[in-house]
Amino acid sequence: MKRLSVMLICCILPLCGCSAESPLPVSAAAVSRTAEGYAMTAELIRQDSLDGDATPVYLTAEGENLPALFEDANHKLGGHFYFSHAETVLVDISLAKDGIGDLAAYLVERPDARLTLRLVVARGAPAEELLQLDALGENIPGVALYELLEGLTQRGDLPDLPLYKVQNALRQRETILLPCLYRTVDEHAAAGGFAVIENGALAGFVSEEM
Amino acid sequence: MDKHIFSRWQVSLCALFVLADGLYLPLSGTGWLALLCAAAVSAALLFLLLRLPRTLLDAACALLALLLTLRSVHRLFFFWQYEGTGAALAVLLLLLTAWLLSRRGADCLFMWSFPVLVTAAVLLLLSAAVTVPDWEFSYLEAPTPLPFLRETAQLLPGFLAVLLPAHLAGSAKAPAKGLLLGGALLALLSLRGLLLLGTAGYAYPMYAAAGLAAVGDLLKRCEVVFAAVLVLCDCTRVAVCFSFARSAAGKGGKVLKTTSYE
Repeated sequence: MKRLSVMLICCILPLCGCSAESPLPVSAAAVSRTAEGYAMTAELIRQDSLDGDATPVYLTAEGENLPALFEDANHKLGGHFYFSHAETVLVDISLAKDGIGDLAAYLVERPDARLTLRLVVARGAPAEELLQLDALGENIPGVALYELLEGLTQRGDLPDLPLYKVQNALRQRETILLPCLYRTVDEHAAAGGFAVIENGALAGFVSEEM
Repeated sequence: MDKHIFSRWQVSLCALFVLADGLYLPLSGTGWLALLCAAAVSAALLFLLLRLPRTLLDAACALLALLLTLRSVHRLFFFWQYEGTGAALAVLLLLLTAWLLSRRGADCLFMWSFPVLVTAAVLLLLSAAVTVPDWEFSYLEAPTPLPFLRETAQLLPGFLAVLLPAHLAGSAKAPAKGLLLGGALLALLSLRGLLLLGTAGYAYPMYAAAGLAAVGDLLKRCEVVFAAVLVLCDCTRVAVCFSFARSAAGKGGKVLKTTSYE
């Protein structure tokens, strides 16, 4: 049994990549299309404050393509862009119009992206602004967004479409409805309506009543 | 001195040996069925292969031991590199662990494999069970004869590598059962991957599918446990190869004589 324990530890240790090595895990990100390529605003969680509270910090990155975008973020954090904890990716309307196929395909190929993360489309405001709006009752907007989306999905108000289901639908050229986020009058992010994605690109919006 | 190897130990080691391929299974609409068929055909062929002249068997197993070790190291290196961990260090740890395991001899390895298989099977079954609500049965495909036969034939060499532990055990019956058990577990993993991910292209689809399993808010990185179990199986495979090499070297080229208890 001693040998078994040694062997188990030896095998599990190298696989435990999620160590305390990175102090800034990404909770959510907003990706948009620009004239030069792509831009991303990532919400990182700082857990090293003296009072023990986790606080969000934001990092912006740019790149000609998606690998360059993530590489830029990684470079800016000195090789510690820790995407494994990201649960939500806000898609800017500029990117949704251009097509989300490349983004979904790139994310599923990344070993550190969770296949259960959710894609949402920002409507009426840039995705990076929606990501940074104050959250109700939760001091980390990205985490609050995820909890909002999870709650609505569990209640059946939103279709259950994690990243891998989106990717499967896109590969099969199916039409999908991605939830939308908008800015409320009191400057919070709220979910409402759906973005219709046809052939990988935004084809329009529908209201929740549908 | 003869070594006593009970049949359940043989079944366990051969099943672990087969499961070592679990991390690298590709996704296809009929892959799970091909795995079952290939396991059944290989189990039958194993009886024939073990009737080959002993010298020929020893030579084939020596070649297998070398090739399988290189293959395990090669694919684990790239898996760890993909995973973002120190691949070279992890490979060294794997080889050290396999060497430590093989040092006690083949009989101890057989005995050791029984609790490991029970643990591995429970974890793999649990990993599959928690994803059942998300299974999408529309991904299932009916096999078409020629591509299916080709797919099954491509899987045969992997299964027939069980010849190595079967030769160490000195019998075919229990190793064939182990091969069937390992094949059935691989087929289940393949089926789970297909029903969750379809045939979309993932670098490590079984690993990706395991990542969809979540137990509450705490256990969200189930793929790490899943991969650790399959790495353990790969480690067992390398240990079997080392064990064979040690037995052969220790007996001047002849493999340790063993007695099987069915």
